[in-house]
Amino acid sequence: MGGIFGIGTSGLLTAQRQLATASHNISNVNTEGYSRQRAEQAARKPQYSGSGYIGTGVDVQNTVRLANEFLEEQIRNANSQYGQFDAYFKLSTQIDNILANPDSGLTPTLESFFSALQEANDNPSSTPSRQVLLTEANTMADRFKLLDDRFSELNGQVNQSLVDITQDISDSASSIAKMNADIVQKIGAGQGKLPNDLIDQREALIKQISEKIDVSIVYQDDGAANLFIGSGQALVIGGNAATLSTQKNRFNAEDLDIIMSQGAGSVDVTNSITGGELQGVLDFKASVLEQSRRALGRVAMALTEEMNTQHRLGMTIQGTSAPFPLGQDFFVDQAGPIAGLPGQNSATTASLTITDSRLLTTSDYRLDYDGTNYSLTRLNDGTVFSNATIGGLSTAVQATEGFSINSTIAAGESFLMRPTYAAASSIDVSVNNVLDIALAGPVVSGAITNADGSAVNSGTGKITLPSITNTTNIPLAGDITLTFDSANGDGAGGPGFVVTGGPGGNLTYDPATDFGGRTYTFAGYGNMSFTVSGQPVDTDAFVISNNSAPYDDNRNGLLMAKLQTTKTIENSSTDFQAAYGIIVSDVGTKTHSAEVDLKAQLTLSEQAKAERESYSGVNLDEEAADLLKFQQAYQASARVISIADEMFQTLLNSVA
Amino acid sequence: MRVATSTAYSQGVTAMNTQNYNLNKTMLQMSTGKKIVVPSDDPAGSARVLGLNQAKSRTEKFQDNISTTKSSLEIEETAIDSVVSVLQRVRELTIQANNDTYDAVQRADIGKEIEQQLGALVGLANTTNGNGEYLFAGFDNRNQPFVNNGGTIEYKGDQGQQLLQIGPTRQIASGDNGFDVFMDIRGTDNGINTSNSPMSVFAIVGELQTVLNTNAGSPTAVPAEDFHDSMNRIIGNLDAAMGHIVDKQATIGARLNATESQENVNEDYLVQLASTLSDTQDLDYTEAISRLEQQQIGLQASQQTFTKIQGLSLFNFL
Repeated sequence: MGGIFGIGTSGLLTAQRQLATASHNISNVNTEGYSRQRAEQAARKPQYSGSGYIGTGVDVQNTVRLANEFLEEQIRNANSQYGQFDAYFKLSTQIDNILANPDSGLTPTLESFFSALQEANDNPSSTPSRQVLLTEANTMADRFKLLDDRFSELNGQVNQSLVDITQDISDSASSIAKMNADIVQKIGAGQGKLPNDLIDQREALIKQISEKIDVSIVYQDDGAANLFIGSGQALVIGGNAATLSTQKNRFNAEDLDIIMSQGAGSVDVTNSITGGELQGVLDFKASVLEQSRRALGRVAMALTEEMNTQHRLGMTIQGTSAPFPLGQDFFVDQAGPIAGLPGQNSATTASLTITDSRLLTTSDYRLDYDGTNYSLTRLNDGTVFSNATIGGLSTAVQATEGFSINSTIAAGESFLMRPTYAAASSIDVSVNNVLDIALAGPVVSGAITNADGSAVNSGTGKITLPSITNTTNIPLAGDITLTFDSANGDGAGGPGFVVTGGPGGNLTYDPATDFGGRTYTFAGYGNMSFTVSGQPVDTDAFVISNNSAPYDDNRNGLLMAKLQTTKTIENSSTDFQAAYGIIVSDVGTKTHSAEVDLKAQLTLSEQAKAERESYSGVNLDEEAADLLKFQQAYQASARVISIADEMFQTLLNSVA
Repeated sequence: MRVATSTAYSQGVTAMNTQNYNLNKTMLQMSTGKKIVVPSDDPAGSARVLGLNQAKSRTEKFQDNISTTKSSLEIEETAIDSVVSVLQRVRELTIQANNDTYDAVQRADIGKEIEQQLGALVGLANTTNGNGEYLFAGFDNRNQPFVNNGGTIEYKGDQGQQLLQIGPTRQIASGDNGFDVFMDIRGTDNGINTSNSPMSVFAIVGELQTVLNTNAGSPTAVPAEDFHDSMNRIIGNLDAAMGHIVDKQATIGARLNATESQENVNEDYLVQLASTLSDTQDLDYTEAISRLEQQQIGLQASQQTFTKIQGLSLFNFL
């Protein structure tokens, strides 16, 4: 009889325990990372009697947590990839929006600038149209700066993210270390029974970390979880956690490096970070932000250098009479020297000077000296230029990279050289006065005339207006006169022109064969080139002189306007607008692929979660069914006790 | 297969989020009328749009330049037309005066009219455009090019000629300098032994005026001529001058024609650019609207499914 009471009580207690577990499951249905639990029951040890082993009831053996390490790991991996693409996508979308927006992009101002230049060419002596050109030039320079400002703001955002993310990782790591200690202690106290809910909480924390950075986990026998990041650096070992923090880059205070410290030791782990938001942010900075900034800088640099070169070949209308001055820089010169950023402990200085903007790449460079060789590393692709002397290195670099190096650094020092990085932020219009815009050509030519300006030449010879490509001996010291002589003009008994003034000498010209036009170049005089055509007769002469009234002359303006579509960037393969277009499509492509990756990862991540939930998640219908089941068991056990009681009463009544 | 209660919930929410995102994107496209809202929608396309826009704005500028060129060529043509009329009148008067029925006084009267006509010629040669800039001064359009220096009309301008860009590789002269138009008349005879250097229009008319006023041969002719010889020679010179200026007129006409044909080329190019640009960036509304409908249905279906499934629970029956 006592047996039946015992058995009934064991059933009651077991059913109570199972009802409690089901209730626990139900109440945690929405707890993030919760794994459903099950109270496992088993029959008690039977008791031997003559009639064999008799059952003695039921016991709850253990409350187990239904979790699968493989499924958990899948989620962590999915999380870490999702975090990476998400961070990258969110940041690059911002650049994407800025670049092609008609209100904030570069293209509209570039177009307006060149349109204004054409407008000034239509009417070069008009002050208002020159004023419009200056205004548009300033607007364009401002737009470059605005874009660079946005890039700079984004860099600030990147740095803030790095600080926040490393802080989050450090906090989570230290929580995990504490939980490790707690779990080890609880397992000891529970004689091997696992503290399920604590383990779930730790798993949830690990998942949070895995969104920020990729971690690998090794579980110890005592129940502790050890976390490693990157190439095996320990983030958590048992009850001890390392911290991640940021530190200014040794070259550039605007850049942050990621530092891992454990006790007194610390190590730079920037380059070994893999996965998670941390990598997403670092990737964005390296492949989108910095790249775009340098590429934009290159457009600003090329525009400055090309416009200045052409503008210096023109003539202004400043002043009231000849001689009129030649053009100066249109934009403030940016050729340098541009100071290199010293690494820590560099005592010397290094700088570079732009020599040919058409050769510039969009890369940064690192200059090193190991005591034997100077070397310059192109950081985009790792190409190394090396030479025993700095002069030799400078010459080699100048031929392919478009800049020279101006300094001698000490052994062991290194510098970060950035040819184009700052150009967009420092572009400025140098011309202040509209009259200083050099739209005219500095030299003119024509047939000689009488004092009253009437014609002298009786042949049909014509001369074109000369164009120049440098300013050697320009303005001219005096007029250059070309006089035709059919008997000895070429100085060798043949027809041609005798040159007086300028380079002197003779020019061969045979009217019988050259009447369609023959072009000459005076190399020492601005590399001036002009064409003579027609049939001059003896004593006909042409005169080349300084432009004494450059008001309605737009020859240099036309050449400047032509720069809009001249291929002046990337080894003369693309024009300004197309170079900007490349930035736009590059950022667009990267953003687009990040979006595609993100969508794919979202699906994978959802799948991984669904699989994990399918095994570990709570299903309310199932729990409801369990409640019914356990309730029935409880009622049945209670009934067993009441039957035992009735049996006992029956016995008592029969005795009485 | 077990499905956790939270999975049904989170999958429903994810589905609705995705539908909302797509719907929002379509809405952005519809409200801007562009299928490329940000470069990442079509990176290559958006770079192409930038290039096409540049080509469009350049070509539109060329069209501007063309209208500038046309208007200055037309102003020049008007001035040159008047020059031709003046020269015709001068020629008529010359032939009249060469007639023996005219006496010295009458010839001097005609000489007075010639003086007026010479003044008119100088006035025409100093024509200015709307901005007060001289048409026939070469690059020196701020200073009066033709000035009377003691009876001789002198040219103070230079031999520059302004070109304007009217196509990607096409430049055209928007005018002519005074030297070419008035100062360099070939095939003339200045009445000096063997010399046949070019003369200016003003010198020819000036000589005529002197001959008429003195009613004798030109004082500068070597060897000396009588009145009729001088007059006949001057008529020849006037013909050469008219021929020269009519040539200039023809050049201006040819330039106007070339400008117009370039204008048509540019116009065609603009139409083609606009159509390419539209193909690249503009939204196909028919497609977008049907997509919107589809996405709306998708979202509604997700919402209804979500509420239905969330309502299902065994607890409802306990």
